[in-house]
Amino acid sequence: MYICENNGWAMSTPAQEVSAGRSFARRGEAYGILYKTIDGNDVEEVFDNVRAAITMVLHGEAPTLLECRTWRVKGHSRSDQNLYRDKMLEQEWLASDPLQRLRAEILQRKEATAADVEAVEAKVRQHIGAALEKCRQLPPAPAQTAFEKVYAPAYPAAKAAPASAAVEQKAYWQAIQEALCEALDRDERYFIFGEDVAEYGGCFKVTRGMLKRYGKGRIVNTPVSEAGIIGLAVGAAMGGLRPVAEIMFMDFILLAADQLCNHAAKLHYIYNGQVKVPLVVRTPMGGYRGYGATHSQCFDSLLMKVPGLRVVTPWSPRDAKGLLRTCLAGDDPVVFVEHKALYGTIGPVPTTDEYLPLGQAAIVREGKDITLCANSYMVSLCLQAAELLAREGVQAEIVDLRCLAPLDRDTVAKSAAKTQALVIVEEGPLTLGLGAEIAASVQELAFGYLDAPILRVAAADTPVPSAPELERAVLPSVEKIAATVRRALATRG
Amino acid sequence: MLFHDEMIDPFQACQAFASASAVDADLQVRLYTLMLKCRRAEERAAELAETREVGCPVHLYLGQEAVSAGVCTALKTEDQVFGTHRSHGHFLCKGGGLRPLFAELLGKATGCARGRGGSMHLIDTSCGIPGTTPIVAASIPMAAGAALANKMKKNGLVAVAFFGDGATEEGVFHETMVMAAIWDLPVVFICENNFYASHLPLKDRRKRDNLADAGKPYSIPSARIDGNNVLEVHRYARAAVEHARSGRGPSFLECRTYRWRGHVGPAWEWNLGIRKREEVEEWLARCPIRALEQQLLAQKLMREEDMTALRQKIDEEIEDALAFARQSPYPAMDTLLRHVYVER
Ligand SMILES: Cc1ncc(C[n+]2csc(CCOP(=O)(O)OP(=O)(O)O)c2C)c(N)n1
Ligand SMILES: [Mg+2]
Repeated sequence: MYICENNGWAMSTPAQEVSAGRSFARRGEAYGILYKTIDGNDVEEVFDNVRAAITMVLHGEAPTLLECRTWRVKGHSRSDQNLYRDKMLEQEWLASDPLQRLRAEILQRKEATAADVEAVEAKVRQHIGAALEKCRQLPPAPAQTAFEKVYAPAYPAAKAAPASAAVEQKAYWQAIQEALCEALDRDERYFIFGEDVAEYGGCFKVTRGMLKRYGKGRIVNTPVSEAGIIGLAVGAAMGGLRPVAEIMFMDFILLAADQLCNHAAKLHYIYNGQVKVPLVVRTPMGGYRGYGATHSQCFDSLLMKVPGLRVVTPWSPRDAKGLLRTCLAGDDPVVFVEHKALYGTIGPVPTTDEYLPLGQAAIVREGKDITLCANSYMVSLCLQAAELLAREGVQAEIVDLRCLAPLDRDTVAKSAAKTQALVIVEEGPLTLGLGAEIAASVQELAFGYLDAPILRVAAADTPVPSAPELERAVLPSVEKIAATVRRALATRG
Repeated sequence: MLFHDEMIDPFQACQAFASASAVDADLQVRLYTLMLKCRRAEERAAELAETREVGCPVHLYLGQEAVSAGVCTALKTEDQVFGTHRSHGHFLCKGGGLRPLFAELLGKATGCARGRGGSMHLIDTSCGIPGTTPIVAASIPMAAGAALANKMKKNGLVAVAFFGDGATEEGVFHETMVMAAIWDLPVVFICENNFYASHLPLKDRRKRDNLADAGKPYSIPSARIDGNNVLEVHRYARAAVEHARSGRGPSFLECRTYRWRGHVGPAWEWNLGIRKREEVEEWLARCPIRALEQQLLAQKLMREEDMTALRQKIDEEIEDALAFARQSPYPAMDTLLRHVYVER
């Protein structure tokens, strides 16, 4: 049931100046939503209509929309001096003040005497006064609490598979799907929510076949409405479910940025831990496919600047599964960033139910001469570059960050302290990217150990062009990584 | 409270003289030529996508040609059209050239976006194509913005937003409808309802089959028309454009049509379990080009041999464009950092 409180004003803008159509309520018509406009200053009319609407919502399938015409008595907020409203109109509305109206009616119907009513009013005034007084006497919130409850506490204990565990070769997409299926099997609060996820199995086919197994009730196709998808997922998570939303390309997460960054990320903190938003948003990032500027972006490092979000960027099938398991079991909003170029890659995945911890980088190749730090698909490029460099006698160590929020600065710093040189590789644009953050952190943690300037390989600070030649020139490549390593080592004393 | 709800319906007249008013003969031939050009160019592009010579994603417009032909012929050269990911037809019908189109598909420096855009980012500012956008629904506010500029500049021009049925599901569609309505913007909303948004059927995304009602809540005149009937599209578009140009504000057309091939790429997608073969075949039988062909023959406006000759001519133009594109260089590396910001 939607209640639109049409008080005639949006801050200083009169509704009729910026609204089209006969009424707000009539917008319901285009969507098959029952609608009605009522006098919002008549509390009995509101009560009766809401009761009727609740009955309709409970018994029919249609949502209802009630537009309650009312009036904002004061300015919009403290700083608004309320100078822009027509005085006549204002007087008219003030004359229909809902409290005065009800009061007059009660008296007229002789449901109470004037003395009764005044007694109630005095009691309310006294109540408010007392509450205010009490609040004034409370101490301010202690400063250290500002750092609490950014994230929800509950995560399953990390459970890495033992080295002896049996493994199976699995594709990246498959590893992801298995983690999803496990969650759906284990707990009916999980459901999949997004564009094309059902029959089609998702744009990159990660949910293929899941419709057959779980049905339309749990593998839910949505309209093309990213803000709605994430918005509804946030609401569903607050309502006790565990939605797993899919955003077709990471670029489109911008359409849902408000729901994700202003709501999902902050509600737990703002309400001091009283609400949780256990939501996993899966989305693929990355270029190398000629998709052009609006279908190739990497916003992983952008989202790591939003406190309250977890940002996970697995490279290997094993990590994809083990990390997704942890994300699904946790209580925080997570952006689980997959990579288009990785879906088909195959790697060993333990058969045990491995839960990998968030915020722990992994050394995927050991070396003594220089550290390459990367995430997601860039790890693949680093491995190839390391092979090239090995032929030149350079042994590169590769740190896969795996997760950007929380960020494992220590592992990178330790590796850099060991090799005394560091190159950071990321697919997003250079400026203020992952590399900037890691470089700053490593010089704080391991300044004395470094023997060469920390260098970065990243996309150029341009949109990603479509033409293959141009795209190659803009994005990181094996050659660029190798060249940067050589440059770093050349400056070594 | 007073709202902006006066509404003059420009489409009533269209209904009244529907079949009677013939679109004049020259224009019918022009419509046919345009549609055929779109059709042949895209069939060629499909082949190039199949052999991977075209590497960027390609969203084919095959089957929907009547909409862009009918609408664009109702516009002046300077009127603007804003397109989508599926805009080869909009580009060609508004006056974009085959050479810059094919060169763009191949990522060449001579492409309409110099290879930076690919199939989804087509532009020719000399004939009112300020750019297409593959972010679903983004064409809608941009067209309204262009209309706002037209209105402020009092230049008498009209802007058109092409978009799909899926685009009506994004919030920005609704935001734009309000602004277009309250400021009486000279914009025409052309919703190409092909009944699918990628692989999602409209019936799974909307409670009723009433897309044409989308204008109603905002008192924007709207109509549902046969998007495969190019003459009908043209008539309605002309009324909508006239309405906008004379300062009476926006209007909304739901053009019901169908995309023959898959959502992206050249495949037919018979076997994805998404749409039934009979459904596709039904729409193939309602081919907009075939329909006009029969009318042209019946009216003796063209003969079979004229059509064959026209097709040959178009095919030659396409081969010329492709040869041009193939011979063109890739963009030079030193241009890479240009135009991230405006250069002065
Ligand atoms: C904001 C946004 N969400 C999702 C997509 C992915 N996508 C591309 S086209 C499309 C379907 C659009 O359907 P419709 O508007 O009906 O246009 P059609 O493809 O049928 O021409 C989707 C979901 C996108 N490009 N942009
Ligand atoms: Mg569509």
